[in-house]
Amino acid sequence: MTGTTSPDVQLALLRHHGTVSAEGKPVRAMENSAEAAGRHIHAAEGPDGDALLVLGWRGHEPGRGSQPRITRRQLTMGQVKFLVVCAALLSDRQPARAAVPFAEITTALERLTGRSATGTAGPAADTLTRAGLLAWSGRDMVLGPATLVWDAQTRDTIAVAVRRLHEHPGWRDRIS
Amino acid sequence: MTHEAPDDALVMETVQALEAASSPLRPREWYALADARLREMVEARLQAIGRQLIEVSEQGARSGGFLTGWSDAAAPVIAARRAGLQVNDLAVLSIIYLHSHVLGTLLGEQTVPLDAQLAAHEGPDGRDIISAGDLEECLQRLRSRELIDRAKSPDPALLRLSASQQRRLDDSLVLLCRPNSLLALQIRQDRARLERPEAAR
Repeated sequence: MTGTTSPDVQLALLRHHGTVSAEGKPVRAMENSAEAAGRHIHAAEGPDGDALLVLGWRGHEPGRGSQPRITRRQLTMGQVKFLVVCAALLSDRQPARAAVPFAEITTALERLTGRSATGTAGPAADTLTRAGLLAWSGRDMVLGPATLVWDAQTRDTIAVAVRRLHEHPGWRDRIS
Repeated sequence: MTHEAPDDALVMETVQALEAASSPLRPREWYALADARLREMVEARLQAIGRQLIEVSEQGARSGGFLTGWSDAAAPVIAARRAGLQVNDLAVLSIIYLHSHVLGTLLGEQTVPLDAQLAAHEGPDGRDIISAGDLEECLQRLRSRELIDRAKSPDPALLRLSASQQRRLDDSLVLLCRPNSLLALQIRQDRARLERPEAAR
């Protein structure tokens, strides 16, 4: 009988949240079902040292070179900017911060783009948190569980974008 | 020689594509959806991860094919733990669904623009249910979840409902619009019986 602790429902919750605690979960059964469906469950460590399960893809992500082509939802340019600015602020200090206030991200965005972020920053944060790319920690934002399982190509792309932002002549002035 | 390995790869690739795609996949492009035996394998693997295959019929400009949605076992658990959507968002979605889909599309009635419909809805104390300032944020949250499109019409996420999930939505509309009808009474009784199965024995 299917219950809330059954592997299929636990996998649905994992897909919905992007990550769940590994504690008490039928991990082996979940892994088997996920692998058969082309998904892969990654083991990760949470901020408090707790064991987490994160859902990714088995092999490369669908849509990259697959035939026939599929239509996938994509982040808008504004959402990508929000993510990169957040990542740049997190890694701007030594040691890197674990969280950055939402207000600091919107202020940096407004100074960098010269446009008001009112009305766009909130929806961008909403979309990025649902995609598992960012997560809320009180009023601060942290990198989300999906970033734990980024492939090398995605990780490099974000790192290059962050480095270019750090090297931008106006970066220091704009975040000060 | 066995076909097991090629079938496995084909089925897995199709399940991955279904789970990633934002629009229906056409059987003529995805063999595992055209072949009944392979489609059964696709369905079984989806069920094992709390998902299910949904067939979408071609209608007007909308293309037909297959999507995936939450399985009937997983849907109530997911619904109970939903986050992000607020009561206002659900109220706006209900009005859009009722006016645009039920009255406009299914019954073919002439409907007025959404903004006017929302302005016409007042709470019991005569105040607007959703202020103009809140409305744009509600619409953005609904759009980002693909529940409505740019034209404020119901969007692909609502196509991802199974037959029983669609029936529950239709029943909820009856409860909303005709709460004192005999049909509403029957729906409430049926739901109470399902929620307390041991009481019915």
